[in-house]
Amino acid sequence: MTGATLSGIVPHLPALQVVVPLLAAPVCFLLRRGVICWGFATLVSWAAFATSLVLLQVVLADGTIRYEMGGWAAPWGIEYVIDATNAIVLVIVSGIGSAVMPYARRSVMAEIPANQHGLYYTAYLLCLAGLLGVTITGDAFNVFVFLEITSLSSYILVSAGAGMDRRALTAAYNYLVLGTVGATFFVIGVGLLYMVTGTLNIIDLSERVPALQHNRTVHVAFAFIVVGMGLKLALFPLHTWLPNAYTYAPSTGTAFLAATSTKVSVYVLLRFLFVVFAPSYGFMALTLDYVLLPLALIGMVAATVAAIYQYNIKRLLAYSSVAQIGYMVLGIAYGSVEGLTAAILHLFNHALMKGALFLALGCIMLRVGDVTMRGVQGLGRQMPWTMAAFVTGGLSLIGVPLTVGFISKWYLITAALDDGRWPIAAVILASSLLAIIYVWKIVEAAYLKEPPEGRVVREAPLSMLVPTWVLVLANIGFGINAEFTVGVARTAAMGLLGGAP
Amino acid sequence: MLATIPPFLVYLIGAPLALLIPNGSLRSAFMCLVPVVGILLLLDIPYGDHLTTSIVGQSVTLLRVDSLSFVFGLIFNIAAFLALVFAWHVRDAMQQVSTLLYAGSAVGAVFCGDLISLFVFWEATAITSVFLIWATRTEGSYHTGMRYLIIQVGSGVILLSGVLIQASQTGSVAFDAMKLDGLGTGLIFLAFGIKCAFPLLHNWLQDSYPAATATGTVTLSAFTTKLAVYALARGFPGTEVLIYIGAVMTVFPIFFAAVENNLRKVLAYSLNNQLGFMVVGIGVGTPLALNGTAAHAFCHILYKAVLFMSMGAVLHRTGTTKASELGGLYRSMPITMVCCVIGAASISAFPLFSGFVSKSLIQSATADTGHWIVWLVLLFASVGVLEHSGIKIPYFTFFGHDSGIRCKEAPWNMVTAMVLTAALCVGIGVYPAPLYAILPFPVDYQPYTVAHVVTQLQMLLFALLAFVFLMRKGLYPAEFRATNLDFDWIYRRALPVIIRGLGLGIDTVWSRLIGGSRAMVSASIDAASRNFGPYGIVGRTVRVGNGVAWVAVLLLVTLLVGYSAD
Amino acid sequence: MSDHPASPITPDRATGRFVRMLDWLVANPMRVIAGLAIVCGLLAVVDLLYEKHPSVPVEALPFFYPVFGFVIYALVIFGAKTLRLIIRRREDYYAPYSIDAETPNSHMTGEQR
Repeated sequence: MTGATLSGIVPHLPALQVVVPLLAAPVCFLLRRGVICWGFATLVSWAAFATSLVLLQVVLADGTIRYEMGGWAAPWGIEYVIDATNAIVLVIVSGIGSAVMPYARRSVMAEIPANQHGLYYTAYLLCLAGLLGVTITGDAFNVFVFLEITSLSSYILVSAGAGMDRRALTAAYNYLVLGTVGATFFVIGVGLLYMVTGTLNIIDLSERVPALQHNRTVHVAFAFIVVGMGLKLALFPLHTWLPNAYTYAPSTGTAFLAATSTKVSVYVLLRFLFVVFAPSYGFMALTLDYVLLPLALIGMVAATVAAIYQYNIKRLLAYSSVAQIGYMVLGIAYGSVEGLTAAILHLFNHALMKGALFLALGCIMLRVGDVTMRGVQGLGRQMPWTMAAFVTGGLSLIGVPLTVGFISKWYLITAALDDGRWPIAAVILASSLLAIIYVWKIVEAAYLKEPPEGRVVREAPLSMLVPTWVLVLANIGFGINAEFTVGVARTAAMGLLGGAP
Repeated sequence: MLATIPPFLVYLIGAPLALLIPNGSLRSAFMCLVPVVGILLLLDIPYGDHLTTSIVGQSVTLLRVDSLSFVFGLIFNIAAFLALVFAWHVRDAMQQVSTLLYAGSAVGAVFCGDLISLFVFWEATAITSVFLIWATRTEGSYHTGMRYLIIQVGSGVILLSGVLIQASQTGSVAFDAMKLDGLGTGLIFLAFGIKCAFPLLHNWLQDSYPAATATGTVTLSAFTTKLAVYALARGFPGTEVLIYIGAVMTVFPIFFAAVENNLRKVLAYSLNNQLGFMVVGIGVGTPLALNGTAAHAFCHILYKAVLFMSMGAVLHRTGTTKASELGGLYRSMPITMVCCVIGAASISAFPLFSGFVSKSLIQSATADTGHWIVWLVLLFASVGVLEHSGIKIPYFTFFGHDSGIRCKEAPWNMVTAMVLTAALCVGIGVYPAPLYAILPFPVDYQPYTVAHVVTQLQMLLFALLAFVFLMRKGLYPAEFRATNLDFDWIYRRALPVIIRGLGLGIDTVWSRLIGGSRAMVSASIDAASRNFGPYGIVGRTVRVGNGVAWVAVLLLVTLLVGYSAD
Repeated sequence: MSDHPASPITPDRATGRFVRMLDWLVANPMRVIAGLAIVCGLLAVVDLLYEKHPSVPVEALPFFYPVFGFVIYALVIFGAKTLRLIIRRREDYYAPYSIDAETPNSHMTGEQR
């Protein structure tokens, strides 16, 4: 019986992937009680993760899924389209959600006033639904709608940090303004495209836009979408909102947003660049070479240097995220199968690294209440498991072999060398070396310095250590055996480029 | 099944297990057992490639046992055992773990069949070994360790760069003989050269080894540089430039060693000079020469170990290894003295000691291939070795001017390790056949001919006569407490001064440009909290305005680029 | 600490005899030097007695090895003394970034506390 029910559900999984968390949000709001909300949100996250895993498996086995919402055929109705590229992003988003949620109970209790817990989990569920929606939908305007859901809920997630530090409100406000500008730019771009093509369906767009490649309106639409998404994904120098938002959000919010929201934006950029505006267009190739590539390179180095100077470790990791986004955009800017493979691979790998690092940092926040260089002093002995997790994540960030970071860097560098772009490979290597410095600063503080006088802290609770270590072990596991991730990334990259005429 | 357990895994598992055992003799005994298991495993593994898998699309071999890797793998395990016996009394967990992991990394590196896993172990040796320097726990040792780490990790990064380029050009990362003909192999060569302490790349060696602990230096001396020798022998046999690099390497450290006061630093210079002999052998590249390199590495690890052990024992008992502070110790530490003299005789290649049967292979190889100038240079270097390692080390420590220091003989475990190692030195010297039997190529060489013994004794004993003569005439350089400059002065003193000078100029530009934009980028908390408070309306709008300004600029740029395409 | 003149040592009998033998040698350096000179003289004589198979032409020169050993040794010493004129600095030249001028602590010597 269950077998029959299950196989009956499978065709509708694309809808359930988004609808379940979306409907769960108001239910969670009604539940009100913090712990119940937490349990509910955890279950929903796990359900979403399971759904995304099944979807990935189906896509890898049978190819692209097209699902018509409510039975309305595209282009009138909204269509969900799932291929390897967004299937893996769905797995990242819901997977990180499932890892963060079990961890959240203790962390949220410590960092957020009790009367806001229900709201916080509601916002989280909305954010999850939004991110999944952006990823899964095949309709350009629908992307905007979900983007707005994501943005609004993530402002709440960030401002929930106000209980710890009032500056969270300023950070959220800043994030709100710039996020809205980004979304607006995006919707202007989509509107312009609608004006000249008469459709909002991404597949239809990809069929009609090529004929209009000399149309000025298309060029303008392209510029608006690239800049709008550039802002959303925190492309240097449009990253100004990110360091503060990540610094002042609650630990769980930072871990979830850092590992997922920019990744989803990168995905949208990928989708529009390579499916809607195919790379054979002259103006697009130029944009890749003369706008995205230099910005990625500058971002990689400048943000890493900025990270070295940070005293607050959350902020340090936020700058490191800006640099890591540079790596992804770099892979995109290559415009080759190898480059896109590296970018998508890094999308996945970076989610694992930053997820692990921010969760470890959340453990420190819980026990020490201070995530600055001073706060971690001497923690190597006092919180050995947490610091070991942090160091492993840091090694992955540098790109040490046997971690996912190495796999990412390897593919990024070989992709650069394949095109004969030696200087770029050198810049990647140089920024990895710079990353050693900021990771080292933390290691030095934690292991070589004595803890401040009289501070006695215990190791973090198991409910927080286990999710952290799950992500840390994933860093190592996918670093040792990268066949699966590389395979999916390559399939996705070929799918994206194959869509081009 | 048992046959495919790689020896490095024993160390990797042994290190955490050791920590579970109560810190004491039991743990020390367990640690000594680790290399023994390693040797037993190694003897059991048949020649060939094992544990082949694939990573990042490249074939990776974790365990390649052949005649070359076997010799180095065997001596690394033996050296680890002797070093662990020597360090039996050490109760510092940091040093214990570091020693096991470092030895394991070196053993792992030797058996790598590909450049990727070589890189992994290459970096592992760097990271695990630095703790032996930091274990001294002084400010000086911290900075020294940092310099060491930067250079060692740098060598790994250069290696990785070379491997990446090599992989993209040839599509293969197999670790076999390469030609020094492109950027990829050039970088790999440079990485090997750094670890092998090529001239001008050598300073990390003399800088760091004297800073490690009494026992740590014994461990350090065995692995890193000999791993580099192995890597060169595997990757670049017969590369002619190595002959000349090696020849320079044998000569220049002699002069520095002769006037150095810290005897452990003298040994570091001497180590560098011995590496030169091995590098010459690799450069010559004939079977005889490569046999010589392998044999010399094997013997060298042992006599270098016994020399560093004797200095370690002296440091342990007297608290110094400065020649100016020592002298007359034969009364207090006679066994240590005898072991040290055996080590000194071995490194000086006296007949019946191990250096005699290994160095002569390389010396003969240079003569056979017509490299007469190099042959003469090596002979010159042999006299130099006698000077700093053969005479200076034992004479100034155990004889010479009596320092008045009276202490106890070294602890039993140090004595045991020294006696064992010294016995191996003599054993190999008297009966070299078992060593010759495991060399990479079949050996048809007879070290003990009348001519060889006589000429060697003539040279060494007349040099000794010269020492006596100069000493009586008061011409021999006295030992002072001093720091002698070497090439590292360039990067420790000159460059920082130049950079600081340039820095004044650059700093202004930097702080204006990068720092300024950084400040703009992160004007957030600082400006807001200091000047306007968290809700300051000015701080807020300026920041958002900045962000939006960037958006506008980027939109303009993108539009212009797009338009320019048509 | 161990660097002050420690209590009189009590070596066992074998090492005690060995040390006394060395004491005698140290007290009579001329005898040692004479012994060395005699051995060297013998070796010089041997140079004329056996048949040489030079692998390098210079080896055929009479007394090549003895002269080479003596002269090169002296050259090394004078070369090093000259070098020292240039490179010698105060012991704390690199302090505090080097161990040169530090007194080894118990961590370095491994002396148990």
